[in-house]
Amino acid sequence: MLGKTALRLLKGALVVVILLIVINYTGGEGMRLTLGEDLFPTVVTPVQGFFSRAGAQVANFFTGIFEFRQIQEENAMLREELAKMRDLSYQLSELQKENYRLRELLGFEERTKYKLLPAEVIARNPSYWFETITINKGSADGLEKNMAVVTHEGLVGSVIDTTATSARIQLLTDSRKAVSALVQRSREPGEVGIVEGNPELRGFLRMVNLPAEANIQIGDTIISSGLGGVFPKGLVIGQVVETGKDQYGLLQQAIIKPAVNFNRLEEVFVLLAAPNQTSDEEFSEADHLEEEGDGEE
Amino acid sequence: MIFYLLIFFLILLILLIQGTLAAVFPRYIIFPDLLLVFVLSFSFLWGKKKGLFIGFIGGLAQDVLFGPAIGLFALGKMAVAYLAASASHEIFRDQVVGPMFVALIATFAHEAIVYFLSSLMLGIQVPVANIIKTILLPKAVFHFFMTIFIYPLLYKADRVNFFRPSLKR
Repeated sequence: MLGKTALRLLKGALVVVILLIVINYTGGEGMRLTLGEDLFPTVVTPVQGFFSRAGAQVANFFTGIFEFRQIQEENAMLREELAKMRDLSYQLSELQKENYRLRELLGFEERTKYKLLPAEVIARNPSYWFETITINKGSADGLEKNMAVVTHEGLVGSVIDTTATSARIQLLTDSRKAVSALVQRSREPGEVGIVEGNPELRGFLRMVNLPAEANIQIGDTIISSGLGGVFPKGLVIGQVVETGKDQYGLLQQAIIKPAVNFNRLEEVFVLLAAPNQTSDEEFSEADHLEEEGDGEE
Repeated sequence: MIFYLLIFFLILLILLIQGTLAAVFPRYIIFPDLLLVFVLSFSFLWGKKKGLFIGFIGGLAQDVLFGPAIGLFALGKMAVAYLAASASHEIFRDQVVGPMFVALIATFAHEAIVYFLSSLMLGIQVPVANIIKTILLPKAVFHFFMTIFIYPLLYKADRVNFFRPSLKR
């Protein structure tokens, strides 16, 4: 009788130990175990896409009912804004033409050489411990691990895992994500910090490791620095809403409101280029920043 | 064979619904873990062996589709199954009150396992006290009340051998 119980306990312990080893092994940078692990999401993706579209329609229907008055007000406001935007658009196109002309004159190349691939968000990790989404584009579309993902508002995250037809994106708000960033206003080389998910304030980011004398103010726009090679330089991350000293009082830190609305992501763009294909210009600029930053510290 | 296929497709359907709901609704809306409620209901009805198997397969599918590592949710869901199956020996299976309270406790057990392993092995940082108050507690209550609807449904389905058509008279 005792032997049977002991055997059961041993079996249970064995299963737990095996699973712990598997978690440890696969928990690294997108380690995949088997072909089945790739095959399963590949088969499921089209079904997930169907569910996602149906779900979005249902959600929009209910949102429409509950927010009818708000939609009417928004409609009037948007019409007004559209008129303004038309004017702005004309002015912008004139400025753009002028910009191109001047660039040509100065012999500058276009800074971003990335091709954008639009993708639809088909699922989101239902567990709140992890901030990841699934998109309907995968390795068959040219997606690779570590590619940056953006929306028209700014940086979303990066690809951590791909199958033939889908990819998983780790969002900036995930506590395991960190991006090298700087203040757009000053672009001071010594003011490169790390932006990471804010565990204390859900939905916000925090910028840490900023030198004590860093010139950072509330309202400043934070952009990616290009250091590390995953994210190209200049992608908008968010705006500073609070600044202060870190827990030891030696460095500054800031709370960042993300530029992207992570509450509702429907469509994103993947920057189609592996990190090692980033232009030399960007890296040399980033290296220069790093050197000067180190020098100041 | 039909039994396992039915269970597998049910798990898949639940996960697809969960993933879709999380994607189309704003992040601040708290969604129940449907799979957890199903795993505990099945375990309550069918005992440890089948419960652990369903928990393992369900958790594994969740890991493959959404998880940051294989085995994380598999362990969490197996713990839920073990808890529910163990409780079913002590509590009357014909009434929904037992599974309801198990759902309450299982939610905390499941999330504690996922959190503990994630912070230890995957390096996540989350404010636990805040999450318990704003997400875990409402979620546990959500599961508590959801079990009122799901458990009797599965109980009736089991009585007419819906999952085991070969046993139908």
